[in-house]
Amino acid sequence: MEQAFKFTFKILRNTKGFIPSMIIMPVIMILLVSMTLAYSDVPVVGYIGEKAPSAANVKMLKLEADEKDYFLGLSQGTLVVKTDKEGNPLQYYSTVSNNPLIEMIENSNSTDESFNEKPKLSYSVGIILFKLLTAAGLLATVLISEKGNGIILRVKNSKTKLSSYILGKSLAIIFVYEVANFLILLFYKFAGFDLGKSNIFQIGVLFTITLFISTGLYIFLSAIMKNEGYIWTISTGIIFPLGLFSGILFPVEYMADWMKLVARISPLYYLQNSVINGKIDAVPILLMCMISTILGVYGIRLLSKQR
Amino acid sequence: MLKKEIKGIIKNPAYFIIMCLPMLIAFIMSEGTKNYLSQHVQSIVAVTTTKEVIMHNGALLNSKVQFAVSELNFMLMMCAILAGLSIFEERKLHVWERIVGKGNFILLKFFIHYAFSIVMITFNLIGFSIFFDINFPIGSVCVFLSIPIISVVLGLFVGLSSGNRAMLSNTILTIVMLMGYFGGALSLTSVLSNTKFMNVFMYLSPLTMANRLIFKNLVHVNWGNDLWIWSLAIFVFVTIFVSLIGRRVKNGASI
Repeated sequence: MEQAFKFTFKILRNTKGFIPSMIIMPVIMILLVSMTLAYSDVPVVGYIGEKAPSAANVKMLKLEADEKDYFLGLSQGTLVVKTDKEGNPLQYYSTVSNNPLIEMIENSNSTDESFNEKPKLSYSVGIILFKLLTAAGLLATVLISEKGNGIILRVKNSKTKLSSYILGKSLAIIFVYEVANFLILLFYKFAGFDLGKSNIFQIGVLFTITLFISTGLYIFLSAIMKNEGYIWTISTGIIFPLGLFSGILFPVEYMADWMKLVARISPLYYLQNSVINGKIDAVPILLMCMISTILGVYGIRLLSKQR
Repeated sequence: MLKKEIKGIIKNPAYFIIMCLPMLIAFIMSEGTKNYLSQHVQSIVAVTTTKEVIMHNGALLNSKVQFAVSELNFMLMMCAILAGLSIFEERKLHVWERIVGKGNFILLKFFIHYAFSIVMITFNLIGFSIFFDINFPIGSVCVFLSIPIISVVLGLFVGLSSGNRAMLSNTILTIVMLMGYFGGALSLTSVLSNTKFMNVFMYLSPLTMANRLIFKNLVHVNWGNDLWIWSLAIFVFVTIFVSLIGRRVKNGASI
């Protein structure tokens, strides 16, 4: 097992660009996704004038007078405020009657500082969880190619136990991903992300659980598949659509009811729910870990029986 | 030759899939975000203010409209990959070397893919009207029709420059995915335009300007300078890429 770990880790380390891609790419992804998928529940109000009205918990966006109708048409339920030089409201333009945002602005204190919303963890965690759930696809492609070129057969014929060999390889891949996870968590912490109800330790535990689930699933897939190409198909053709229904691109809370029902069959839904609520969904996650273990063990048995 | 091209399009399922995708993706994306835009509903309690409140009585663009426009534009950009592959296959099969009028051949490829884009726009606009109850004014249709000019020219240039199929697909996919990413294909345009930094970055994608023109047209807001900017962007892009295609053809463009 130790030899398999060292050998796999050495290959990964020597693969040009692999280690930086494990860290730099997720960080770029987090930054881009946090900006594009910012489905914030903080309302955005446009203002026309030199100074924005001071209001807590409202994001202010400066507009030119001729952009008013476009802004109101695009962002339903919002408000545009025309202000004087001191930022006091002179006139409101609203898409709905009795707009509660008017009261928020009227009742705000003139000493309130402009509101700056922190980027939220929930904007990007779905993509990171998807990446971790498909992480062991790498292990599967290695195992399938080793199955094809006879290495697995040679390991079986040697004194090494196949389970130890596969476990060593799995641990090397998990180790590399854990290092990347650690750096991603540090980035979340020091880039000032709003972690919501979770803390760094909880998120770290959930990331590790996701890697564990991925490992069992992909060991099984490598045992039943003969072509590495199918692994990519499984990741993008099955796991990504499931992720789409469980909050990868938009928050579950805003989804249509039928989509929320579909989300419940996706492992990503429970993992993401646990991160956002700061409370691990023990029953479904435990069940997923058990299924993953069973699949992993069964996969190794299938691999050892193959000729 | 025209018959052969039409046959090629009919027989290739990729064309059919790309034609149907805008409606399917727009449906999924809009269902996923439909409650987001309606979260700030009106208060039951009357709001008291001494200031004048002017009601906006123009059209409101819900998530279905926003994604219908973004996804159709995104998939029209995706036509670049079809045009690119189409000309690349001719080079790979060495048909390209045997053609005497290379300019006319490229023009034929351009027009056949542009005609396919028109069919795609028509198919989707009818679909949006029947299933989503969205009807686009003629101004918006003209903006839709202008996008394939960019995508087909881009596709033909990459198709003439690439050495292999993987390089061609990766180049076009990277460019188009980035355009879609910044152009509202993955998230609501209203979310992008209300987010710090992104409200500037999104203009890196030409699709943002096209979407903006269509949205303005739908909410009956004057286009102002946007139309000039868009026309200029198309003109500059097409001029640069047509001259690059010309240079490539002069150099042989063989594999």
